[in-house]
Amino acid sequence: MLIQQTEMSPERKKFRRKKAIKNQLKPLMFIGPHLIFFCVFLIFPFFFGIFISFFRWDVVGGGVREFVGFGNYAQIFDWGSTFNREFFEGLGRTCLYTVVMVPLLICIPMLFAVLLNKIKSKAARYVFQAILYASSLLSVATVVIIWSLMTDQDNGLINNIIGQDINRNYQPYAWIYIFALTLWSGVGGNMVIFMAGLSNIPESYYEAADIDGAGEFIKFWKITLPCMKFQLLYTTVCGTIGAFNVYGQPALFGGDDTEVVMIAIKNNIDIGLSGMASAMAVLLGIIISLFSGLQFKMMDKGEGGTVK
Amino acid sequence: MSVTAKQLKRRVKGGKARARQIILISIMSVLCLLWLIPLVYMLSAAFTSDKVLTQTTDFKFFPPEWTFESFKQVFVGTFSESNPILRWFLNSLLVSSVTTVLVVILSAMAAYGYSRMKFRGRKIAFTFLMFTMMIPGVINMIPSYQIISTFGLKDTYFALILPSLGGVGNIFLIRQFLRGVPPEYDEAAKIDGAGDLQIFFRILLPQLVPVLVVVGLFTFIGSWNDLLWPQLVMTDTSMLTLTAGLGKMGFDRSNYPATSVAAAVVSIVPVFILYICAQKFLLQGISMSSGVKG
Repeated sequence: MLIQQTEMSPERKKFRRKKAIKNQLKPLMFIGPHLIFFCVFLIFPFFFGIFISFFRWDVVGGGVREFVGFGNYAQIFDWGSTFNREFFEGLGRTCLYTVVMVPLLICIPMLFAVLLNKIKSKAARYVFQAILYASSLLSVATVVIIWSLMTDQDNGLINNIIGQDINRNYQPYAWIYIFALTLWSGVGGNMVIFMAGLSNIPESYYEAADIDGAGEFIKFWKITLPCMKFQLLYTTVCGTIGAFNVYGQPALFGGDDTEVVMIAIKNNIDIGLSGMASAMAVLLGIIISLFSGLQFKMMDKGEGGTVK
Repeated sequence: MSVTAKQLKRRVKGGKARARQIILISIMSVLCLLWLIPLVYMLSAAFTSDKVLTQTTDFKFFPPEWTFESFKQVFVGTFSESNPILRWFLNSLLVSSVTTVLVVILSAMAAYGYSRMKFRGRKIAFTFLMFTMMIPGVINMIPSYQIISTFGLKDTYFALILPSLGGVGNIFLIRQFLRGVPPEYDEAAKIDGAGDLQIFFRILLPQLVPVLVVVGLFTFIGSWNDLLWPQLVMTDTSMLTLTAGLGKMGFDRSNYPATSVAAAVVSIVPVFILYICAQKFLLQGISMSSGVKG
């Protein structure tokens, strides 16, 4: 019996092997299309970008390329060079933006989502959600056009209301306005994610807590937040990465000392120093990946790994 | 007949709940009003002329005189010559729609492949994929420019569409959602003789609609909002997207404040229309997802 089973006819063997190959190829049909773009526009550029950072090279203007080794990095860490100032001052501003905006863009949308979720009338919920999300549809450029007008020194809405003569280019006003306009236009996205998460929490959890006599705060802390772990992880990681990459708001709104590190990178590309810009990008990238790695690890504890 | 204690308790509780609803709705109304102020301000500034805005202080919140002048200037005249808003708008619409459709399809397929199909190295491949989420777009920008320019795709729509198709964040989100769909669904379908494609399109895709709508909306908005990349890769002004174009106006913005705002208004109208349609879908999707999981 055993011998009979192992000695299959050649055709059957061939058929089996064919089927095995086909089974191995099937997943490729699904992941393949994405994989191509993933390799060409994510993996390859990553290594290529590090490669460029070792050259003096104008990628955009198309000049000669000259190998400088760690020269670009050395200039960034040379405390006398202008690149050093550009990079570290920019980084400081980017960090300020991140430290303020990430918590704000988690807490406020969470608050809105929880409040909205408690409203029983479907129509009211629909309208509120629509209004709060509407500003998320605007492009950075549009948002800045509106807010520039609102914060105009001579006749802007804000100065008219509070009866002050604030120049939006001065600090701390420039930052406050940038934070405000980012919050105004950024609340909707995370709110939608949180609302989707909230609607997935079984009602029975809260009913059980009601029987135990738990208050609203305890319920939020012990049921809502743990159930929203994934949404919180996702929004924090994406938010932090997004915040470190901030460019549009400060670049378009302007103001004193708001040149974040991305603006420094863009400026270096524009003046033909792609290698230097790449070196700055690599350094910024290392910082971003440290942060997102840490967040992954921190928020992943107790869940047994994100990748299950 | 007197009211029993139990009924009284219930009635008090009902009154309390209603009072709470009223308070909630008032809080949200105030918040929404606050959120609407910049939008209304934008509208009324658009209906004011550039002259009133630059030379007088008559404009407080509502236009002193309503005029369509600035809307006209968006399409004809010197402003529109250097700022082809309509063209930019069409560019944006095309690029964002195509990007969204492709990203949603590719991400959903990949998420299905990584989470439901069995193949060697699946876990390692997916872990690697997730690690690349930490690769910041900054590093990729300059080399991506070089790739696009090598392929001769500069100043084409492909330059804006292709690079966004390799992202991994959406796969992560969809896969997380897929975990909530019981595997018994596809097993049952498999027993009934359905192939992988059939399982994906007939069984799983309908379940995924809520998360796909979210992914689609975010992709569309992300593509619509992208500022730096189009400015880098489009040297031809007429190929810019709206965001990049409006961002480049700079000098014109201070000379034509009302016209710039009117341009901004024109730019958001179709997006708002799209959103109003999608919002219905979005809410449906959210309640649908609770139906699957709850």
